[in-house]
Amino acid sequence: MSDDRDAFEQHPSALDLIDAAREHLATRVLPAITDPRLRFETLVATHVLGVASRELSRGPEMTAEIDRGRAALPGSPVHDEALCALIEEGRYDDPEAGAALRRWLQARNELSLFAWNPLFLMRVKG
Amino acid sequence: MTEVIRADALPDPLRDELLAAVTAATGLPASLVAARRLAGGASMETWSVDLRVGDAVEALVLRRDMGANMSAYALDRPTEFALLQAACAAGVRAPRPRYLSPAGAARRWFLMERLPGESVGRKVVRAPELAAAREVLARQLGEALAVIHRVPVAQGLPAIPGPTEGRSPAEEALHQVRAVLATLGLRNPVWSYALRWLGQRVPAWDGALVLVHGDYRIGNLLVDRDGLAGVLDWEFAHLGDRHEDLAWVTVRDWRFEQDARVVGGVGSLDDYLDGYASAGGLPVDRDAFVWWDLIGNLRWALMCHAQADRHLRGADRSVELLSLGRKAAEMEWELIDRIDAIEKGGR
Repeated sequence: MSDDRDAFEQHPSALDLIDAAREHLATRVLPAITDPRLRFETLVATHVLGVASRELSRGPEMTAEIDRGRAALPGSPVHDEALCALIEEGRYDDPEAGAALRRWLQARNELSLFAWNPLFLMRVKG
Repeated sequence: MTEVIRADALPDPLRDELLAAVTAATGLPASLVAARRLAGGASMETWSVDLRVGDAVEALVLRRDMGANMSAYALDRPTEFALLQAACAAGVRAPRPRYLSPAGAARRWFLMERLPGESVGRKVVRAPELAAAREVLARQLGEALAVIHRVPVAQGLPAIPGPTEGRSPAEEALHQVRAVLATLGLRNPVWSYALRWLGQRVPAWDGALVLVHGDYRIGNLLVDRDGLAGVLDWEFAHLGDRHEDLAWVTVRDWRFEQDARVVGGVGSLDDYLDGYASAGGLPVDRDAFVWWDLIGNLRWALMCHAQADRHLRGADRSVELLSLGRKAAEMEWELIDRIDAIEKGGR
């Protein structure tokens, strides 16, 4: 290719496909379902497509933010596995280090909840 | 009682097994009047069943193993049946167990009486017709738990699991959490941090080992216009610390979005604990209560991941089970938020 775009960039994007499938389920399939159990399961399927859509829409930004925040913690862990090991060694038992860790964990949780359940996030954050 | 998913006929071999067991127990002819499948838990098949036994019609609920256990710590059906008998005899409001499957049944089951009432959590916390019930429910939940904690479990019952010798119930709970983590094979810094924090603050135990229901929460309780009508789903019962049961209903997820009503989305902690004390419950240690609330959130988060794992490993392909893995973020939020508040000097 002559420009510098990713050679594997697709059009329509994965996000477009997911959003279309979600819209189809929500507007065409759900209204036609009478079986309560199948309806519930289809609602869940529609919801998880929404989760994937929100996550993909902020994916690179989310990952970079999480990585930057983790690396700035005491001990500079480069991934979750390393952070878990530091926690288990007691590296964050100190009140100040513990407070920094909790701030990062909650920022990480916020990003997860933004994808999974933005309403929950609004509720608990007031 | 619960949402009807489809009005299937009971499979013939199961119907024949039920009728034979009822006739063997009563000496009376039995026939099927009606059956419909109910939405059950992930490890149990449940049916609403009406049987004619002699001249009377019995309204019953069938609880039958699905074949795959959700938890290594769950009771089998014969033990749950015997425990329900003991609980009812001790005055607990619960469905009376009626008939137990024969020992040779491939998937064990029992039939219990069908009580009227609502058990679906979202309806219990919101239905206008249950508004008066919600006014008294928290207190009733405390009272009922005090009765459960006095059920004598030493005599005439199959063995109910309890903490390993030398461990307190809290230490046993931590041990079980670590075992689940090892089985899951996943690492998450929230779990590591919460586990370390809880492990450094194991509450002192006064040695009182009581019958713990193990899943005492909105969703497993039948509620009618007068309040609590019955305690259901005893499969996670065990011997343990009363605070485990007391705290479980206050875990945020069991409030069904009615966050301000700390007890199951229906009432206040003061009413609940007053009810427990007034019905003869042992003293409540607030620090132990908080500890069990927090480990309840951690356990529920891990259980959610275990459910997602059932899909991912191919044991039970289900988008609903898979989605629970992401729901764990809600409990993880709660854990860190609560620990942070405690560390800052609050609750």
